[in-house]
Amino acid sequence: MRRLHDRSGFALPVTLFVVAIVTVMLSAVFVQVRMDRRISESSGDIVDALTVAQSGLQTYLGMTSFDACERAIRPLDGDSVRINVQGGYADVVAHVTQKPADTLSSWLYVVRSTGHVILPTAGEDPQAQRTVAQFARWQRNSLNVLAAWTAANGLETAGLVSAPVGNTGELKGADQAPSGCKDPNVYSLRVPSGAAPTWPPTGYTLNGLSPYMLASGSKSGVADETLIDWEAVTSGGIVPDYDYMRFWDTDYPVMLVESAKLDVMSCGTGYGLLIVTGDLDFNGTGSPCYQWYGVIIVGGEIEWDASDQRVDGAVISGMKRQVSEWTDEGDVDGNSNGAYLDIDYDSRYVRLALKSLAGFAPVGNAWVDNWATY
Amino acid sequence: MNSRGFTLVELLVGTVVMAVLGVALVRMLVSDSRFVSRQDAMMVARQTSRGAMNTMSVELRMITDGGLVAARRDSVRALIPYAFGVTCDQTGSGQIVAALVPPDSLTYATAVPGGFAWQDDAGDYQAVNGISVTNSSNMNACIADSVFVVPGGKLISISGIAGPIPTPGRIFYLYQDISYRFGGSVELPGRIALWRRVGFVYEELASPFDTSAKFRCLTGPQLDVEDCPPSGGLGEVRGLELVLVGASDLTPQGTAGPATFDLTTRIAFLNTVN
Repeated sequence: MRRLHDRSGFALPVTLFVVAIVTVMLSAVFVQVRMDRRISESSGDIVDALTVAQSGLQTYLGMTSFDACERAIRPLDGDSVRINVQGGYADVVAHVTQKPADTLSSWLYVVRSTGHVILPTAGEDPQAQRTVAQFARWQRNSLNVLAAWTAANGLETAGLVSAPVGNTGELKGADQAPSGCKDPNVYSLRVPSGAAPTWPPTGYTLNGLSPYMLASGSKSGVADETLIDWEAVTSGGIVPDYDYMRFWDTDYPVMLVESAKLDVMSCGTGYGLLIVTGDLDFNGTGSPCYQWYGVIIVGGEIEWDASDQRVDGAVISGMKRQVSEWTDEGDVDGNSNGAYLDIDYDSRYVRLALKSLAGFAPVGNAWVDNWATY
Repeated sequence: MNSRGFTLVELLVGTVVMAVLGVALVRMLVSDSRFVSRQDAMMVARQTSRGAMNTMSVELRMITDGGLVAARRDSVRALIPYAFGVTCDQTGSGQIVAALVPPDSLTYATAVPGGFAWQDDAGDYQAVNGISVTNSSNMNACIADSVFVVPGGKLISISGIAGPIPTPGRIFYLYQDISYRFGGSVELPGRIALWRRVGFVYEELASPFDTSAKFRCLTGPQLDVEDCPPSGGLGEVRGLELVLVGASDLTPQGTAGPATFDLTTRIAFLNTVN
């Protein structure tokens, strides 16, 4: 009798055959799944590259350098920088596309950012890259300062010589900035023709451009000379840090107070750019009661009714005249006997007040995806 | 030699055992085959959705204010920028020279110019159709206005401008008039495809899609999702939601219909004043 273990069976070949078929089929699935996953990751990398490029672009647009005199340093044509962001790095290049003949107008740039996605586990080579660009205008932190105090609303003729009595002060148009940082001197007072106080005033120290006070042109004309677009300022053109007047903030914030009349009752020291859409009235007693380092721009009139008020920078009033809105003529003396008013033009404090407005301002509706790398 | 055969019982037992093993083997193979088929179909559906999304997202993201011409559940039409630049001087009637910043060479070479749009004082774009674009060497027209051609850029002449001529120094873009539409497929008759139309050129971008594939509108600063067209009009649209429900070309084994893959993505227009 032949023993069973001598017979050749077929279980093993069949098993091997089935296992081979299943292995081949599953391998095919795994290969396809891996390919699909790789394609998916690649799509994700491209999206990440866009994020990296955009992050680099925004970072660059927010980078503004200042010199020792607080002047914003305009990037040179072709300025380039590599910015590391989470997930990779962005190579950013800025090119000038238009340099206006008018020196006060802003330069037009196109800023291109190429985002590179780096996966630490995949070596140094970028996994994906994407280039975007943005048109942007370069804005300086400067203001066309005409005088220590520019009163486009005009000042009352009797001011400075009538009651209240015994008032004194300074209106200095000579730049009080530190040596080496000075800009050209300006007038002490700039007012429209026919709306000027009796001149020269007694009890006030004057300097700057001779004859210290310039009275010419119309009220709207003086407002236009400042080159401030009042309509833009009051209709969202400036994004303020605060919508109220804030003292003791040494970061030189931008304050935009929308009020028909802002009555300031408590003394204090302020810094930055204060914009009041209506009138501004200082009240209180102190020595000094108010000290402001920066720029004050007022749509209506300013009433200096405190006992002692001082500004280092520049003051502009009556800007509503630019948009044909009526406003009272102002007064230098206020209603306080023996009061002190000191407005010193200081270009450095003007620049500090406008510091947050300097740098690249992206042009709306001018962003570009899938840009050629150049 | 022992020539005795199997007994009937041995044969019956052997047959039953073989039958059980055979059924189990067949079930395993069928199940495995269906798994492979479903995975294959799902990947086809995914690739359909993803391919469409990759193409559309780049183009749609650049739409500017006023650039969305029409939007419905099954179609959108927009003026899509493919090259930006700055205008220089007028050099003839209805003709200007302009400096282009470097466009993507492939996109620029294959673009079908639909017109150009220039930015006015308010920051809005004024679209002008029916123009023609040629290369130019008239650098003087730009030098006079201190407009520079950045490295890799080019000078072009735009002619056939009807209406106001933009002053020098204006940002502008050349655009293609592009429509996307879900409609009947030619490659897969009876199925739905995503079509892309530029000028008079129709292209079946991807197929097949499920009937639930559609466009939805993102409106307002919060990008609220609404059916297209939105109740407040196209001016409110700040982006599009692409509901790209891709389908497999074949019905996987063991299922009633094609596999689908729902890829819903939101494209915010980055050139609007959000």
